[in-house]
Amino acid sequence: MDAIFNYLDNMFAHLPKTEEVVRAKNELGQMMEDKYNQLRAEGCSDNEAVGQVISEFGNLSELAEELGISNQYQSASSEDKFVSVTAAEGEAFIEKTKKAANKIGTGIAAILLGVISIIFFSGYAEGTFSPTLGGGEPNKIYIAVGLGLLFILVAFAVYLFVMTGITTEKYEIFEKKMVKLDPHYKLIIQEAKENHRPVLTRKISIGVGLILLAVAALAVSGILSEDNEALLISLVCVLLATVGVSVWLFLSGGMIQSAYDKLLNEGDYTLERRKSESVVQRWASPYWSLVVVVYLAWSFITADWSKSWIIWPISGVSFGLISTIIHAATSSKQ
Amino acid sequence: MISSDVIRGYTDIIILYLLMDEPGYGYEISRKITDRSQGLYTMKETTLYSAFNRLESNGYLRSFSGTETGGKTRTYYELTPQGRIHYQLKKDEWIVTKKVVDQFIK
Repeated sequence: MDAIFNYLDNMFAHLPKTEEVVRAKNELGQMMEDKYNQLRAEGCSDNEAVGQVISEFGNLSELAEELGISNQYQSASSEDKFVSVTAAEGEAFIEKTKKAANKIGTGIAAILLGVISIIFFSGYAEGTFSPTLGGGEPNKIYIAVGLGLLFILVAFAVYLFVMTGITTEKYEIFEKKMVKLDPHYKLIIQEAKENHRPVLTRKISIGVGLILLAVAALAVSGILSEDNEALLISLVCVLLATVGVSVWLFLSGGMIQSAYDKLLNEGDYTLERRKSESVVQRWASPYWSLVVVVYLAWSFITADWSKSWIIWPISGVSFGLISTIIHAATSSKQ
Repeated sequence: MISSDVIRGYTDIIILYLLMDEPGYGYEISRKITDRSQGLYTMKETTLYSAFNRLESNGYLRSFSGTETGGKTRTYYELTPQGRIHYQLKKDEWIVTKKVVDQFIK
């Protein structure tokens, strides 16, 4: 029953509280309540009754003229900002998002594994792990093996990213336009998002916890056994592996969350946010390409693979900072 | 399913007919529409309210607040004399419309 009044409140939330609007809301609420009670008396469950009442509610734009709010409906629809999404399309989109999250997570894990292998093998070649292997010509083989693995794994990751890009391309419109859902389906998505919230929180806390543990282990051993390079390199590898697992957790939780947000026009996908988000997106791709170039150039010129990875966490944090600034700048302009 | 475009011109006649003998309130009318059409047509709440509003401002309906026996206070709608005339006009219009369209139905 509350669901019906919540729904009605939502529908009227952005309308001016004129006498006509208040009267319309009361009358519609009365009719919906009567219908709900009747359906319940006929033996429908709470869910069924709410679903039927909401699906038979109709569309407020029908009342636009009577309520003197026609300008609002015109401005919203004439600029073609909306895209209608059916329940089947919405479900397919969520399913694709789940698969995309897995693929991107696997791709990132593959890249990190490649970085781990080059760090490990270049450490091995320099005789970090065993004094007998120090110096000498044949050790270049190990570097070659590490690099080879890196390229194979990166190629695999790029393949996964491209495949994901192709399958999710047709849903790009959900990022740009406001989504209009069937009211009954909207209710289902709202519930799904609510159920997903604790899952997301758990995934983020586990991911952050793992990374903090690995960073702490690295920092502590860096202080205690400064000279034990073998231990430090191994811990860097462990840290990168941990980042791989955590990123996978963040992606699988976060991408589903943003799929719900896109469908509901909430979170990062409200009208104002969508505007500033497109600015961030224009930034993101040249930014990350530059980071990759800097990382590869630094690594190949100095051959210091065990240090150059630091560029990733630094550019990740900077990216977060830049997008926050862009969001703040765009919203203050409005 | 009946498309809302087709029936839009006849929401008035449906509502006026159902208020012909006695006043009624929103959901009561809505349920009578579904029952009388044997479930083939259910009028959306917004369509119904929009029609009440329009019919009232045209002077075909009058609204008053009333209480059901042992029940809640509701807004009731009642047909005015102009409403009865309007119903007759719409009825004549429909008879002609039906006759015309029927000429093109095999």
